[in-house]
Amino acid sequence: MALDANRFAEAASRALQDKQLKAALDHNARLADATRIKSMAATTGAETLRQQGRGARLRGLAQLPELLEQTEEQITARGGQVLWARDADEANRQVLAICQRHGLRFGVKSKSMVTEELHLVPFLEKHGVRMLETDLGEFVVQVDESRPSHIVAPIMHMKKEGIHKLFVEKLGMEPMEDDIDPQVMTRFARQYLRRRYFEADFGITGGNFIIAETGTIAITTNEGNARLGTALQPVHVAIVGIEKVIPTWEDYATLVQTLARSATGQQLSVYSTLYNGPALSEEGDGPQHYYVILVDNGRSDIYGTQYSEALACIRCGACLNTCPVYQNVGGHAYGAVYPGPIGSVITPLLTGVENATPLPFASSLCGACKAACPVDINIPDMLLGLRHDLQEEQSPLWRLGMQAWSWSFSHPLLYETGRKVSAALSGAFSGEDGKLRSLPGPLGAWTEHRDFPPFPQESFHDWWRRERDGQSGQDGD
Amino acid sequence: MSEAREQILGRLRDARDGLPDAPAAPERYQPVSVLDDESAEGLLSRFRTELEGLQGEVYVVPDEEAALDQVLTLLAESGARHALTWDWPHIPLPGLAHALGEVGIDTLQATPDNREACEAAEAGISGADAAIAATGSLVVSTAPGMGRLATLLPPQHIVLLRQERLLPSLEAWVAQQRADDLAHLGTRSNLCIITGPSRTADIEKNLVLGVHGPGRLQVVVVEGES
Ligand code: SF4
Repeated sequence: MALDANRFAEAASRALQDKQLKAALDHNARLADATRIKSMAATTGAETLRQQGRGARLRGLAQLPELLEQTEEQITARGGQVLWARDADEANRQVLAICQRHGLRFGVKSKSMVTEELHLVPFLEKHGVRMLETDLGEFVVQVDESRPSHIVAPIMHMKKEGIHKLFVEKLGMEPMEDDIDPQVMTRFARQYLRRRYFEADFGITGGNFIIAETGTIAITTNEGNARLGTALQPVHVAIVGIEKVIPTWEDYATLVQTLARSATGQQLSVYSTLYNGPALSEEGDGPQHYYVILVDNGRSDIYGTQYSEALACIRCGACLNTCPVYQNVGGHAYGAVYPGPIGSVITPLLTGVENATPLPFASSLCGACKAACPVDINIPDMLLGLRHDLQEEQSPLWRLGMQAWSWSFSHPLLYETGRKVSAALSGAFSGEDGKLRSLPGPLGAWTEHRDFPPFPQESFHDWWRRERDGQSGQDGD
Repeated sequence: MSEAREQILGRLRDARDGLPDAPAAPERYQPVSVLDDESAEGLLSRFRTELEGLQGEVYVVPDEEAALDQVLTLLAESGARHALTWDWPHIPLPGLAHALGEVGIDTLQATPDNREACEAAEAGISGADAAIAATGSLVVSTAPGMGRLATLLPPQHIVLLRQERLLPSLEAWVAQQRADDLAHLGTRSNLCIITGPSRTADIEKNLVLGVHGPGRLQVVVVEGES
């Protein structure tokens, strides 16, 4: 499935008509959001912790060059090897070179957003190295030959019936007669994957944090796949974005817990694994060779700009689950590796705004994302900034279209009832090519649902700021 | 040094002026999970509540003899005949090897050449560096004779823990490492904070245990000082 963020309108429109998707999102995204809210309500001093976590991330960014050097020094001292990659191609080639050096043919991979961003698996497969996803959700996505629709829960868009069908048709699982039991499907996947863990000659992981003072790569999973995928295989390659650095273990203690609470409502993920280096020579398991690839791929372009804060993201997914737009259209509609509110910020920044023009507008600016964010990232402000950047470059007609479109996300009445947002969206997107250039058409369809409001006379930016100030207090801060 | 490295670091150094101000590190970090009662009993009771809430199992025994009985009972219940264990000196229960031998349970330790045999074991037995009451977690780290596989491969994982290793919070564990100048951490190739049995909720948020790691996590806590 090719990624194309510029087709958001069309894809969102299609998504809104997909009843199965709607059922899956209604269940999965809302439940995830409710779980987080419950867990945060039970947290003492949640706001202090949020600022404590944010501080840790901002300190990591402020000292990024030094902390990266410290990381490298620490890893190297323990016998690991650190590689630096400027872009996706360089990172992918480094992994391939490691495979060639050690004669690796088959790897097991644990869930990692950065490897999605690099399109690492298709690259390796093209060069004859087979990769198997081991996170249950990512495994389903791989068998389905589709893409993850969420950064934490890759199959948030699927119902169990769909997964059952896939396992029966593609993997030869015995079909279940009556009730489809997730437990039976999980057992099946465990057995299927277990044998392959033993066949694999290397493991690939991402990293949630880099603890600079010891050069430790921290990763969290609930299934144990990352830990198993680096216990049996002689080579471990960890691929991590350069922005993931935090200074100390105290910072880690805060963040690993707030990450779990925000992502799934757990106190801690089941396996908070910490990698320091290759196994010592007398150890009975663990990798003999340990590589860490530090990936830039556009991050240094964001660093130091007004969007720097986006680099503080710990990829918990809370802003996706809580977003009225995500809840209605799901992750695939964004046409990007990183969907949802934070994706709408970083996709244009990483891939170029011209490749993701609709995304900064795919938001009601309601502020739910900022309120949910465990490191208090001001997503609405950055979306506004991106809108502003785009408007400087685009034609007046385009600007008018985008104003109308964002209005449809922002109108309080529409926002109150998510369904009406959907109705408005499907109307607004019904132009031939789904682009808002065809303004009169979509607006015509749109006014069938609602009375059309007069355009604000002021600039969109001013208008939004006024709106926002009027609504402050909803922001949770 | 590689060209990529120099370029990336150079770009970051050139751009850093535009960064938002970062607050100084707090003098005292607020723990994420707070404990009302940090007495020995308080810690044990919280640890039990938390881990049981995750469908882990906690067995508190008064002494080593009772601990041996408990381990044998757990193995008898699951019907395990082969146990993958850490090297004996690293499991805080003298006499365990002998006791398992007496009831005919085969034991083995992981080496790079016995992977298939490890996979056949139905139970894993290990110790732990520490346990964390507030979150119901166990901290394990690797060293020769303290491998990853015993804690990971078999469907049943039994952990022997001295009560004195129970700490209030993850933050307290970090403080302990800090007091040691992170020296312990530095010698380990791998650490893991295990919080409950392996699980997934990927399929419609249904909770399923034992995905890639053990579905049963059983902690035998031996009370008192060693
Ligand atoms: S922006 Fe915040 S809420 Fe969204 S994924 Fe990142 S850390 Fe989580």
